Amino acid sequence: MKPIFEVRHLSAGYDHAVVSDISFAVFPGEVVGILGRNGHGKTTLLRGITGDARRFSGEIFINGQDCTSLAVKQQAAFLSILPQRTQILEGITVQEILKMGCYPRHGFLQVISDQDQIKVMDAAERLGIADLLEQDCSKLSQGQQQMVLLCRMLIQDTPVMLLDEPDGALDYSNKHLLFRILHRLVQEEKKAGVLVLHDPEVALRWCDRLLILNEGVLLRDVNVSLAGEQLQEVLQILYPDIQVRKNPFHKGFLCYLQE
Amino acid sequence: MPNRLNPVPMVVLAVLAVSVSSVCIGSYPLSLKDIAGILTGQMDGTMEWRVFWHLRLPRVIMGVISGGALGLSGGVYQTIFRNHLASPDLTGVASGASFGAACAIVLGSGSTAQIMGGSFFMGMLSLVLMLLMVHFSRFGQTGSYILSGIIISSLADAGLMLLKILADPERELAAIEFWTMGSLASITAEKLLSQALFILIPMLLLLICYQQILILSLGGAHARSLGLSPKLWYGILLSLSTLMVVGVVSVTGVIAFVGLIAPHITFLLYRRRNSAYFLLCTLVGGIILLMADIGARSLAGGAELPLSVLTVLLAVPLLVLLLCGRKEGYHEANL
Repeated sequence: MKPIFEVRHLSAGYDHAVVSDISFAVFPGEVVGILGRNGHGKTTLLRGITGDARRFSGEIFINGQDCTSLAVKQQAAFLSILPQRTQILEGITVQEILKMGCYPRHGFLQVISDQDQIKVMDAAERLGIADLLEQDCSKLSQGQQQMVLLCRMLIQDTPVMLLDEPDGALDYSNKHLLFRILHRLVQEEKKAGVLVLHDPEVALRWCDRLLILNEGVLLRDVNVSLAGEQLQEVLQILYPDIQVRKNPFHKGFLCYLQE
Repeated sequence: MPNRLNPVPMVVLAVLAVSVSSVCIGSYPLSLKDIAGILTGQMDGTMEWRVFWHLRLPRVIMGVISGGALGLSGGVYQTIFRNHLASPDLTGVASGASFGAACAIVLGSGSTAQIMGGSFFMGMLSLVLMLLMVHFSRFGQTGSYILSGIIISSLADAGLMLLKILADPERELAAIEFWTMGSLASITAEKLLSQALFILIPMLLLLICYQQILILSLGGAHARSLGLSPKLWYGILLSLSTLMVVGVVSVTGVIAFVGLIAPHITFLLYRRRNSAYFLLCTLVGGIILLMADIGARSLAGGAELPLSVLTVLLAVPLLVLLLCGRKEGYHEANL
């Protein structure tokens, strides 16, 4: 099987490279989690992929096409990102935010078609935010705003979706709803999901593969189907005291720090 | 957010009402009957006819267009910079234009054409300098625009101070001071026509680009993800806004506060930001400027007050209200 998304030897940063020589591939229907400690380059890696941070070297391929040299508008047809934090100006309704997801498919003068309108409604219902469409988005909770922005991502409908700590502001139930929807969408529509995460337990529950990033370098690329002991060994690169046990009640693993 | 009545028709009616009042009020008053007679051709060649066509109508149209341009550019600035204190002065273009006008008054003959040309040239030069600085800047988009605006504004203000020292205190200094406070007193049909396109074309383009303005308000990462190059679109939108403001300032002089308060009044009225919001910013800006102009011509007997005196007097109660009565609708961090 050919990868849907491939990063080759990417070095990116600002004045100097924060992440160096990163290479990984994501196959259709796969959710890949990037784990790393604070300040070790996870967000910069995503920003390097999207072009928000400076790329020093490397190539990015989506469906075999080199995206490094694409115009911003063309890139938006392949790649969407949910940034870590968003400040939404007051007065913009949820519906306006969702309609922005149609922007990459339209020209300069955006006219929302009936088909787009249906797509907006469908996605809003899927994420349980259909009753918020006329609400001022800035007045919603951080968690609701995150669901709105994820919904916009569904409407944008790109083969590759990058999410930077998407569960940061979500409550327990919404966190699992978001990951369930994302996981199902990626699997059913054979997309690629790349998530920056902090919680190893969440990563082991919802991702198919984990990338371990430390000091700007990709140390390991592991499949979560490995045995608990092997995953523990990998995670101990980041968190030396972490213990990983098979979840006796559900799929996935339980993680805790040994006192 | 419940569906609310579309305020655009009401605000359009308010613009028409204030425009008609503005045509009627002045040192040579015109009645509604006079206006009807002029428009139906029954008063051709009379004094009323000349006052209406040569003085009042160009003045009112310029007032609506100028206020509209300042209000719209304020709305655009406040939205894309996500800052309620942003206004057209932010890019330093008004200071640049003032310096240009002062150059024409002190170093040139001080003729109307020279003042207009000088302020337009310097205003445009400020815009080019701003775009160059942003292009070579290592800061983020928002920071670079604000910082380059401060640099240009400070430089132009220093030049203006120097010219004030050199100016003849009785004639040139008074002319500079009057110009930097704004007025519609000298508006003629020729002046209106010379700048109308510089103002109206960018205005129309900005009203069409509301979707891009809203997307940029979410920040560069969202804009890029949605296929909008932040660098390109900040440049386009700010250039259009600035061109519009230069067109206004080169004819009317500097008019304070309209660009700041028109978006606030609009948001208090409408509480939404969409295509209608930007149209309303334009209309509300027009109303503010016309009301200030009516006050400027009628409050000091035969003399005319500078427009900025009136716009500041209109703005202060609103800003105090926003400062003391703010309960919801404005994020603390943005003020």
